[in-house]
Amino acid sequence: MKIHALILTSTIAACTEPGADAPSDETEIITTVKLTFAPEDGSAPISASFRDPDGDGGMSGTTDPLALAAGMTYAMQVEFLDELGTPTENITREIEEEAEAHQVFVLGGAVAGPAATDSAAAIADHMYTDLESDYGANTGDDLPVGLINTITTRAAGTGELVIVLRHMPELNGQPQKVAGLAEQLAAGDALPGEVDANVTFDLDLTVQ
Amino acid sequence: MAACILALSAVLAAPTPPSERCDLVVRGRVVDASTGEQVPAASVQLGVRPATVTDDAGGFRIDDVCPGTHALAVERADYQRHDRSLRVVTDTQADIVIEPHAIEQIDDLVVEAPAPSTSELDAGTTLDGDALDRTRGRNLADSIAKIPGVAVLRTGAGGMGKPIIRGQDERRNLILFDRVRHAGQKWGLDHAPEIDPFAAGSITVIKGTSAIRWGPDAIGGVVLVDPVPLRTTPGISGRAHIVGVSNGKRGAVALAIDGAHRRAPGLVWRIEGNVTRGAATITPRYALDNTGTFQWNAGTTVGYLRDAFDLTLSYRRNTMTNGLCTCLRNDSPEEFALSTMQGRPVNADLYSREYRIERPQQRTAHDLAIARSRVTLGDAGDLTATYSLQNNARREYAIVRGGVDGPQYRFDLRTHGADLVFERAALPLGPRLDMVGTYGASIQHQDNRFDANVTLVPDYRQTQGGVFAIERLVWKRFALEAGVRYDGMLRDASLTERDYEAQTGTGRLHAARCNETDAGGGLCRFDFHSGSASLGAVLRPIPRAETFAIRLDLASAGRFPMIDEQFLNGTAPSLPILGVGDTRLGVERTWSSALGVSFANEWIATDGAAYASVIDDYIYFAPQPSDAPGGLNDTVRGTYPVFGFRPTGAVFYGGEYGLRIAPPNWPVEFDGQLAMVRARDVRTGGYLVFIPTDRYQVGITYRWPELPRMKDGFVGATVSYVDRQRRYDLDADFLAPPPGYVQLGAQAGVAVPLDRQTAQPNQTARPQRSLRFALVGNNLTNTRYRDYTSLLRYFADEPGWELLVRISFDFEATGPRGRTKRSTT
Repeated sequence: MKIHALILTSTIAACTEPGADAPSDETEIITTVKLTFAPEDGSAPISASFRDPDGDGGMSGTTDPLALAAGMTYAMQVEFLDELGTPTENITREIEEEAEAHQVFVLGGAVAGPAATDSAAAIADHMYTDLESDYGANTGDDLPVGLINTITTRAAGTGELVIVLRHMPELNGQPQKVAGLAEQLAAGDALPGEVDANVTFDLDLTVQ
Repeated sequence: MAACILALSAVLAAPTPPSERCDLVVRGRVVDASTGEQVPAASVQLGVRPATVTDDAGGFRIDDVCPGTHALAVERADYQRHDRSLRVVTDTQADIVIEPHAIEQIDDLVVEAPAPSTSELDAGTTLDGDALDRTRGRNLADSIAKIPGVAVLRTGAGGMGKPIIRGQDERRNLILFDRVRHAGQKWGLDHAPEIDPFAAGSITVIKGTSAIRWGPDAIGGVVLVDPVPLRTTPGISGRAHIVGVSNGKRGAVALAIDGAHRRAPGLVWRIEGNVTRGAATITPRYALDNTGTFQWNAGTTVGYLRDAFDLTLSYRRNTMTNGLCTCLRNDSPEEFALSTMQGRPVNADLYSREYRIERPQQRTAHDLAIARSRVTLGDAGDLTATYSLQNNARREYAIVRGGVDGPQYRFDLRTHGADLVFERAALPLGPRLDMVGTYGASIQHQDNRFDANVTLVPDYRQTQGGVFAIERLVWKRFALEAGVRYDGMLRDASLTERDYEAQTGTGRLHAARCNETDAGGGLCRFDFHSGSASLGAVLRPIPRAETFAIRLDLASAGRFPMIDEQFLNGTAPSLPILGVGDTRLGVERTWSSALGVSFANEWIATDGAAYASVIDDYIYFAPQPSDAPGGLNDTVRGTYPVFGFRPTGAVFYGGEYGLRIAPPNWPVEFDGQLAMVRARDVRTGGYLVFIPTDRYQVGITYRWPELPRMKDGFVGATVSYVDRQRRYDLDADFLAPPPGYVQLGAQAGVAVPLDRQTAQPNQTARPQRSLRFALVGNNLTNTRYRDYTSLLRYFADEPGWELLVRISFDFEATGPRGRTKRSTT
């Protein structure tokens, strides 16, 4: 009986949660998607962000209006930030380190590009200008990542510009990020992996 | 010659020696072998005397017994007849354990063959003995899924599931292990109960409101998982199981050993443990990637059992690691709609069947420690006091970036429980009228911590207590039961700064009950009170057919809102919705009624029930109107519809029916069952979601003739049809219900006793051992199907065919009852 009580109490005392883990093991949350448009003529860059200050909580996120000049070519840089804690964490670093498992897609009614078929409503053209090899050693196909893109605006108008970030890690040793994913998205097929960001900007092009 | 006659007459004239006087008393108790409960109204016959009947406590007393060896026979209609010899030298106490009869014979159909006595009025269906052993190797929800009225809410994590009883999910039903409320993160749809079914000696499902006895949230029903009763005689016994399942290449090994020693009378111990490991299961077309599972359980119990007093201490640990299917993924609403229409997970051809469990996965560890004492207070009754401590640690791991090692969600729930129950002995009020009562009080204190980088539910502390009283009036063929209960709860929730700002910003916090703390977070205090009452009656109107019973139950119970119903604030895993709570929710009041009819004779056993419940302020998770403010939420993954808990009026109604036809002396049996549930939202007229669909099942079983080395042999087949859910609300759901499906199952089993039984009294019984084999096949036609009450139905098919093989080994070595000196002559 005594030994039994001893075993009982020592087992309860030694109880730990499954997997001892340090507190800083949580994943980062993307709270902000920031677009920076640098015009090719060297004038001041234009920024617009989507911000959800409480992460995926009850308060809705807000999107900045995006006003660009018609008939201009911009280098669009996409950044993903976690502004929940201090200092702000730049998740774009993590994405660059895992460039072979991430891709940014640019679509929406206002866009014509690999992920968006051209239509009468399109007012801007999208083109990828970065590759996986820009960010590190690359195995397999050298596919675009989408953190740096070229947006060529057409005539004035308004429409939606959608930025989607997909995280597509290897599945059982096989890569899920393969060539042609943007085209599949344009064709209306479901893509592999998970959606980490899907934000919509209201694009307003004016003649300047 | 003369001396001889003289001696003879002397012998004949000699007075009877005192030991030959027939004034001895034999008394005892008759107990059910599997539940340990007393068996009232059993007939006890000693020798050729007229039989006597056990009272409501299972006790009997036979006076004026002559010393010597007598034949003792104990029987009751639903138990196997028990014969033994009893050697009577002085006043004797004989406790008799008898095996239940009707339920053992049933394979997949569980039909309650009611007892003639009515001292227990709960409409419970018990799985024990062979019927329970046929479920070994399955998780808890699947073990009871064959009972009509019980369905399984599948979670998509390693095949786990939660029970749905009469359409009510785990929010509104209770699971009790060893009569202690299982405390886990019940509110999560994908959180399976952390209970080890191998530890069960019997599983009882009580359908319908059992709120008075067990708590105000037991509206749908109660699942009582009771361990095997502890030994009362010296010796060692044990049970071992080895289970193998083809789909998912799963294997399980379980062992339990009980012991009691002659030198320490009353002291009994038990040690048990089991391990299960399974790989990913497969559907007919592809594997369900990453649905492997690994579980182990260990437990120990020590008891000191006497007639008037017993004390038991037990501790057990349940740990599970379950992989979540890769097909469950976080999507934007548009992507979700696209992939659900595809009907097949993307990259399903890359899915594998391996054992390795990767992210996403869930790991849980549940500790349960119980200290319980029962005291018999003379003739007044039994008093039982229980203290329990539970620790539920849940870790959920999502797919992450950047070398992150640990879990993304941590839940820690510590629960202290204490209760006191007094079972008053039967009070005879008249010639055949008894009054039996049960009174109790219970209190539970919980402390929950939630850690993650997102908001979901706040940390909280809550204390809940209740008192109840149940009285039963038992006549010969009629019994009436009335119960009342009162519960109160005090909850203190502590919100983080981010959570508090978001909830006040959207106007969801109850201003009067929540205050901001210095750290910027929030502290909310809520208290709830509710009274519950019930009335039940059992009538056996036909004198010559004691097994024909009609029961009626009426009840009203008030359920308190759970933590997520009040404070939920976050995105649900895998489904693109934002879930919010409502702190203005109040007590949910259920008015329920149920009518049951059952009958059994040598040919037929049948059991049917119909029920209807009206629930006021039913707390329903439904979409907010999308045009109202707060109806849509822009998250980083897109514009999510917002689902909130809102009070509405609900009506649940339905019925179950089971039938078994087993002509005596025929080796073939037929059985059938059906169950239906309907549920409507009274305010909108719409249908509620995740209500089980209609199920029908028929089966046939052939029993082999008994041979000395082959007992309980049977072969059977079952066909079941699960209907499509025709009553659904596409606004509150994302996908139309899947089509109905037909499943074919088959079972076979046999028991091989390894020793012959001895029947000599007072002799050392030889060890009793038996080996039992079973082979069960499910979904033998390898049908592709999706189940409406499965979270997997948006993403992938359910598993295909499987074969389960089980070998069970029971052994029993009873010590000698008393040393007898070997005579040298």
